[in-house]
Parts: sequence; C-alpha cells; structure tokens
Amino acid sequence: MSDADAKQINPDDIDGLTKAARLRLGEGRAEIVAPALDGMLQLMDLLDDVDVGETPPTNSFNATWRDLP
Amino acid sequence: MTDLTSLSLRDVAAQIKSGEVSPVEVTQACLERAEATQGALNAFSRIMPDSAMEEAKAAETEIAAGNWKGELHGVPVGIKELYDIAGVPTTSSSAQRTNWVAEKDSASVAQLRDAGAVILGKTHTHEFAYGIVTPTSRNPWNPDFIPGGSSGGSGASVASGSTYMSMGSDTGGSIRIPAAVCGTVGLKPTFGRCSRAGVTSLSWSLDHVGPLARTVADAAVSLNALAGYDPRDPGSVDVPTEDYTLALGKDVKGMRIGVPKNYFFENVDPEVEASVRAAIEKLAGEGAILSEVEIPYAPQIMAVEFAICLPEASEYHREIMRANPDLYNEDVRTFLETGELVPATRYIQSLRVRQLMQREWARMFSDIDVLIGPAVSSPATRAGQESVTWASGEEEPLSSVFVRLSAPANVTGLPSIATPCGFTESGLPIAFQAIARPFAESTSIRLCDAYQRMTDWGMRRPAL
Repeated sequence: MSDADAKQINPDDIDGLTKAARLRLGEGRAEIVAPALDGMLQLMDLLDDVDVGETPPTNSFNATWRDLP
Repeated sequence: MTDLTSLSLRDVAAQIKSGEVSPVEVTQACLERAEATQGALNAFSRIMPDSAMEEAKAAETEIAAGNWKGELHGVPVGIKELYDIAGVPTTSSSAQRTNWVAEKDSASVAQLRDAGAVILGKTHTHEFAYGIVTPTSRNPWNPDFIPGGSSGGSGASVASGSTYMSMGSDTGGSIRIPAAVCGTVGLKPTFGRCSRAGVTSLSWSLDHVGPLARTVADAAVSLNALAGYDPRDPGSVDVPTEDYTLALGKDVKGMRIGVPKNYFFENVDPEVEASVRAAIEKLAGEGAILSEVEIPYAPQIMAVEFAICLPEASEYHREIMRANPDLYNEDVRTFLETGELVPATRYIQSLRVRQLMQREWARMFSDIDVLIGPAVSSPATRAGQESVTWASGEEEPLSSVFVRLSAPANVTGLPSIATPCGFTESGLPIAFQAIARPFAESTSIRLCDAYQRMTDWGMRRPAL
C-alpha cells in the first residue's frame, strides 16, 4: 500500500470519526462525506510543509474585563 | 426624465439633498425596479415596501425640516439575509431558520438607520453564507448565469438598480465574488474595522461585513457609516476611523502597486487576466509605480482558509446539525459534516501558519502600497455548472475557482476592494481587487476611485 493509499479516507473510516465527534450521520452519508473529507485533509497536508517552530496560533485570550459583552 | 434607479448613490443623494427628488420618489422607483426584476433575478428574500415607504416619508420630513443627515439619508439599501433586522426573520436563506425572528437590529443595520438609509428589503445569501453560487438568484447581466456568492442577492440587487448599496459578508470572498461577477464594487474592510454584531456567523476568525455598491465613491460613503469599534464583536479593533470620502478624487501618481509574480495569475481565465493586466498598465500610465512581488506561503492559503472555516462553521451549526440535518441543502450539509471531522490539531496548525503568513505579507507590503490581482479567476459561470476546466486540463470545483483569489485577504484580514475593469466577449463583468495594508482602506479607495474615473466599466448597466 502506498503512502497516499494509506492516508486516503474511505467510507469505512467515517464511522470511527463520527463516533469521536458524537455525530450520527444518516444512511448513505458516509459515501458522500468520505471523499469530501479526504479532499480537505489532502489540502491541509500542505500545512505540514511549513516549519512553524515556536509560532503561537493567532487566537489569543484577553484576560482583561474591559468591554465584556 | 432621468431614471432614478440608474444613478449612483452619491448622485441620488445630491438630488435628495437639493430637493430635486424626494426619498419617497426614490424609494418608490427602487421598489418598482425590485418588483420588476425579482422574477428574473430573485435577488431579494424579502422586499419590505411598507416599512421602506414609512422610512422614506420620515426621511422626507426630516430633510424638509433642514435635518439632512448625510449622503445615505433617504437612500434605499439592501440587507443580506444574514443580518438581523428587528422584528424580521433572519433566515440565512435556509429552511433551518424560517421563523428565526430578530429581536434587535444588527450593528450595521443600526448604523445605516442612524445615517438615515431606507431599508428596502433583504437579499438572498448562499445558505448560511456557505457557498459561492447563491442558487436562489441569478446574474443581472445574463440570468442564465450565477450572481456569485455568498452575497449573490446583494450583487444582483445593486447591479440591477434595485438598491444603491447592499450589505454583504465575506469569509472567503463573499463580498468581492458577487461584486466581481455582477459588475459592482465590493469593499471588504480590514478584519475588525466593521462590527459583525447581529450577523449570523460562518467563521468567527474569517468573517467580515461590508458594502456592495455601484461605485467606489458609494462604497466609501457607506464605509463612513459602517466603520467603528464595537465591543460586542470580539474581532472588532479600537482603531480610529476616518472620512473615507477624503480619498476620492485623487490621482495615483507615486502609488506603489505590487503585481504578483505567483498565485494570482495561475489558472485564470484569459479574458480576466488580460483585463486585469490592462487595468494595471492603465494605472501605471497615470503615474503608479509597478513592482513585481512574490506572494508568501501561496500553497498554504487555501489550506489555512478551509482549516479555519470548516471547524468553526461546524461548531456554530453543531446543535442544528444534530436536530434537523435534512433541512440543509446538500452542499452545505456536506461541508458541515466534513468540518466536524477535521482534527483540532489541523485547526490550531492553520492558526500558527496564519501567524507566519501575516508576518511575511507585512514584509511584502514594506515596498508597496497596494497589491492588485484578479478579484476572481473566472467570470460568472452558468447556473448548474459545478467546475471549470482550465487550459492546463485541470478541472477545478467552483468553490475553489471563486475563493482561491479572494481568500488571501480573509486569511490576512487585509482590506480589499473589487472594482469592475472590463467585460468578456459574452458580456459578463470582470474585476480586479486592490488589497492594502491593515486599516488602509483609504489607500485602496483612492486607487480604485481613480481607476473608475479613468474608465467607464463601472457606469455600464445590464439591459434587464
């Protein structure tokens, strides 16, 4: 099995993922979601080409109580 | 007699101010235009004739009493279906929210009311803003084609002459895409410049609100009403606002334009590329200084866009997805289900790459004032078309075709204006976008307004 094949998301993989997400998919949905998820995860693989080093994420928490909604 | 609906916002505002026409006449003309084009375009999810006429009469009385509030006073505008209007359903053009009635106005609607604008109606969005087609609506330049999205109804309403400005929202290009393919101006401000309070979220980290208008000057007038800090929006930034109309009427001499060497001209329709490059040359001919720039982290732009948008959208929809998944349209349901399964580590990784991307874009901007590229890679596509096949033989789904070039300004949060710069041989609009530094909306406004005054692309109207 090639690396690409090993990484590919198939409909059979979806059951475990939806259990972890606490999401119940309707009948026939795994066949639709699997290729969509596979395409998105392949796109996100491009993130691995970046050495993020010690870079923090853009989202940060502001602990002040100023302007709380 | 001039057709009032063919005027720009600033022109009709001048006539209202001088008493040449009344807000009631203008609103009546826009309502008639909206009703006349609704069958072909279905730009509106809801036309509000009774409240619009009441607001127009109130504006007429105020102006007659000497209380003119400014250029939006008595001017009919459209509001995207995502925005709350007190007492009116915010359906997000979805069967999920047919009875979701707003208790109070969104920040933008309140700001527009304060400026005296007349709310003509609500415009269709691609369901929950999660798409670029807006399948409910059609393109005024050819109703066999899509109006783009997600603010497709807003693009169609402005281009067809039913409103002088309509509000849009932009998570991956949803102001600039419909503006580009409908032949209007679309202004996506800096992230944090305009409040999103009371606007249904698609992705908190990427959502922006802003106007679609007939001219850059009209967009500047609108931004004057919309810009400002709002603590109710956690993305809002407390940066002083300015009078954006002061950037109008200037030339482009000495402005430094970055022309992308990579990314923005890859897999682009030849007519789009030719028109955008001609616009850049036109600006250079008027004294702008061109320099080629390398777009940093280009391969990661779409990865960051989707790695942020998918999980955030799915989290917003978590409860509805578990209650009534069948009420979503198929494309939106698939996106939302997919987003539930994206690993959290991918989401965080994308936020880290976004940080690096911001840093490198800041470096790129050290030598330029504005970056110009196509607003979208393709003109409007036929309704029902699902992909574009490029000369390279590569087939690309529409979501990528239309988001690919607009997403950089969402990921970086930079202000960007889509401005008409030509038409295809088949008569469909083409636009460039001008991206500027953070909170430098005036820089893009200056450049795009100067370009509009050199050309007549923005003056053309569809023959509906």
